[in-house]
Formats: sequence, structure tokens, C-alpha cells
Amino acid sequence: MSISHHCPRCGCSLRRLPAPADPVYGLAIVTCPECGRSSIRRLHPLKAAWQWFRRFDLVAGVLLLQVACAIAAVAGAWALVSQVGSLMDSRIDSGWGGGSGEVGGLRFDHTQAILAAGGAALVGVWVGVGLGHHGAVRAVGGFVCTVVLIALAAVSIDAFTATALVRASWLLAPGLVGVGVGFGLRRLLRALWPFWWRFALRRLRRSRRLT
Amino acid sequence: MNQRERTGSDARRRGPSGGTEATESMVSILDGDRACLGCGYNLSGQPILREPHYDLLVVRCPECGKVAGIEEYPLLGRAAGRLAAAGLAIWILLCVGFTAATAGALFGMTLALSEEILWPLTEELQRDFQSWSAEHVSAQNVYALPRPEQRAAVDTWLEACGGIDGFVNARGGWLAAIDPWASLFWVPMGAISFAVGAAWSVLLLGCSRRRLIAVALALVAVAAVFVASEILHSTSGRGTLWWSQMINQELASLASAPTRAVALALLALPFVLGTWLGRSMARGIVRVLLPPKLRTPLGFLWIADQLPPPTTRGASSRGAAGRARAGDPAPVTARTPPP
Repeated sequence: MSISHHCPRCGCSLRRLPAPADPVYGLAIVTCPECGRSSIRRLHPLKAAWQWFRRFDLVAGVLLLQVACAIAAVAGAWALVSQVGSLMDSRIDSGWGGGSGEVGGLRFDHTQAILAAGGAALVGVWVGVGLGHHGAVRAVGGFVCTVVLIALAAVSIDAFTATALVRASWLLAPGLVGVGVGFGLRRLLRALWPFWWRFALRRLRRSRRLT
Repeated sequence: MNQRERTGSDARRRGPSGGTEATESMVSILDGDRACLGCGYNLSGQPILREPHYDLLVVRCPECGKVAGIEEYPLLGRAAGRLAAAGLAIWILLCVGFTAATAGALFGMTLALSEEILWPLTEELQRDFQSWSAEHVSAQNVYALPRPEQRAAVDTWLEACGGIDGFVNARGGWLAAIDPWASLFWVPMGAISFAVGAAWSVLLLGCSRRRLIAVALALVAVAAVFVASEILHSTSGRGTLWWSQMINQELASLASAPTRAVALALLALPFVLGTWLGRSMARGIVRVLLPPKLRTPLGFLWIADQLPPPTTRGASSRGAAGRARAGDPAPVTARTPPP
């Protein structure tokens, strides 16, 4: 049996009456068939607290995921900049260059190049999906500033030559492509959201009808 | 009987309309589940009565006689109270555990930082002793000697170099003897200390910033007690020690107190700063990483500092706060109810 709900004016039982959401206020309103007084069907405080906790749990989970992604993105960008910088420095020192597959006067191992570009693109995708709510200009500007700051920190701490890092700046290109893909993905998810929401509502109504 | 009590009892007798001896009238039957606040009995099927004094609808429990209003959902008194007590107990346990962990972490980091600061001097002392023992001690490895002979060798070496003070003075004093760059070891530890302070700031949302600083200083004081007891323990022990431990003990009696005090102060500074800035940083992280619609369940971070909670429309709470301070009302979108 569900929780009791009675009209506060005449005491008529409102428990079995449906409480559709009001189109303007969005409240679950029940109108008494006896006296015509409308009242709001509220959640039991314990149930409301549980619902708040579930929502908080969801948000805390999303926040933790975002923090983990942010840390991974910064660490990944640092690792990419350091690796590409040290790779270029060592090849500048050894005078290795020339031949096919040259990028900026230096030859790359294709696997390393693909991995570095893929990593940069992944960081960009996260920026597009996870930070897209700030708008394209802010997200891209923040991404570029963060990468530049990381590169400067890598120069000062790991003592790479500035030339190597300037050449390593081609990593920004796949990163920006990743940001674009991320924004597209975000738009797609937002476009699919109403369908998913309708489906969830339908499931909820069906389960309520069954109970 | 005073005037107030008399008036109340009269009203109770007369009822709200001024009539005398008003009685409860049955209105309906309770449908659905509703537990009695007194004994937990399910009141389903009990008559709903119109209470004559306030004209409210009530239900009387047949088991314990307690009267309950039906306009609000009742909370099961015992269950809710027990849940709240259990939550409170878990919260207190968490706070006590976090207190111990914080004091322990500050203590451990203080020891590590002071050891790092003193390490060049310790290393030089040990190297000097080894070079001295190579000439004056018969055994090739001093560790192979019995402990009393190791103690005698260390004492003789200390006499030869004029004690730890003489050793340090011969190298230009304390500041010349310690390595200032070793203090760079402070940076990662300071970051950890700051993060712990920020966690305290978010954990104790009920505290104002001034109280938070007081809590942080109290935690530093607990860590200082740990450090003091460690200093007493490290300088008073005369048990079976190896020669390197003997040298460390001699150095500790002279240098551990000031270096540990400096190290603790260096760690306390970011810790207190973390408690001061922690909530602002948490709000900033939430604002950067979460879209506006997901920020509302974390509104307590704003409410704790008397700031307007985040809105779901993407307007920054800073803007709302600025409006509130300037006395401007928030923009209201007029919506007319349906006819």
C-alpha cells in the first residue's frame, strides 16, 4: 500500500488519484473530487532525502571523473611535451635528420608520432566534452594556455631547448582537432538527450502503472 | 493559574468559534500507510477527525492515543532518530580519524623535512668519522666492533673535533653547514599540506573561516606535541645503538629541535592557507568542471559561506552575489498560471 494522502479540507482520500505534473509549475498537484481543493503531493521526507543523496552521488561521481580526467589530461600533456621535447633534443644533438618522413627537419618514428598525436587528440576530446559548457572560445583558449604553461614548465624543469618545444608545438594541431571532435560529440549527446529522457519517462510510467 | 494558561484552557473548552464543549467530528477513514509517531502502529483504517480547536484534521492512534496531523507526512520517530544518530556517529568517527591522520601526516612530513635539511651535515659528520676511524680504529669496519667500543670510538672522535659544536663552527656555523636547497623538498610536502587543509575546510562546513583557522592551529599543536615527544625520545635514549645512530643522536641533541620547529612551521603555513582558501577552491573546481545543471546538489559549498547558491541557468553565482550586494533583485521571469 502506498503512503496516505488526504485532502486537508474535507479529509477525502487522494491516495489513488493521479498527480500529473502541472504544466506551469511542474508540481504534482491533486485536486480533491469532493471539495475541489488542490493540494500538492509531496515526497516523504526520507524518500526526498534519499533522492537528494542519489543526485548528490551522481554529481559527486561526475565531479570525481572530471577531476581524474583533468589530472590525467595535465599529466598526459606533460608527458607528451616532455617526451617529444627530449626526443627532438636527442636527435638535434646527434645530428640525425634528413630522408623520408621528415617533420620540421627531424625524422619521427611513425608509431611514436601516432601515439603522441592520439594522446593530444584524446586530451582535446576531453576538453570538448567535459569543458564544453564554458563555450568554444573559452574551452579552446583554456586548452591552448594550459598546454603552453605545461610546455614552459617542462622547459624550466626538464631543461629542454626552446627550439625542440617550439617544434613540438605541432601537437597542438591534433589537440585542436580533438577539441572539435569533442564539441561535435557533445552536441550529438545533447541532441540524443530528449529521446533518452522520453524513453526513461516511459519506463518510469510503465513501472508505476505496474505497481 | 496565570492569565495565559487560563485563556488557553478557556479556548480549549470553548473551541475556535467561541462555542462551548466542541467535539471532534469524524470526517473520513485513513487510507494508505501512515505510522504513528508515538508507537509506530500503522494508522491505516483509523477515522480522520476534525479537531475542534484549530479546525485541523487529525488521527488518533488506537494503541497509544497519540494524536497526529495528516497534512504532513510523519517521519518514523525512532527510525529517523536512529538513522540520524548513526550518521552522526559515523561523522564523528570520520572526523576523529581524519584528525589523527592529519596530525600523523604533519608529524611524519616534519621529520622527513628536517632530516632532509640536516642531511648534508649528517653525511659530512659520518664521512669525517669514517676517515678518522680509518686512521685511529684497528678494525676495518667500525660496524663490526662491539657496541661499547663503537661508543668509545665515537666519544674519542667527538673529543678530537671539539664536539658537534666545534665541528659545525669549523665549517662556518649552522647556516653554512646545512643545505638551503634541501628546503625545495618542502614544495611537494607543502602541496600535500595545502590539500589536507583544503579537505578540512570542506569537511567542516559548519565552521566559519576564523574557527577553521583555530581548528587548523589546534591540529598543528597536536602535531607539535608528537614532534616534541619524538625529540625527547630521540635525545634521551642511550640503548644499544650503531655508531651512525650515535652520531645522529649527538646531532639531534643539538639541532633537531630548531630544524623540526622550522620544518613544522614551513608545513603549518600551507596547511592554514589551505583551510582558509579550501572552500573557494572547491567552488572554483565545481564551477570549472561541472555544467550549471549539475552544480545545484553541491550548493552547500556556497550556502556555508552565505553566498547565493549556483543557478541552473549558467549565470555565475558571483554575478548573483554582486546583484545581491548591490541590492538589485534577481531577474524574475513572469509566468502566468493557466486559467
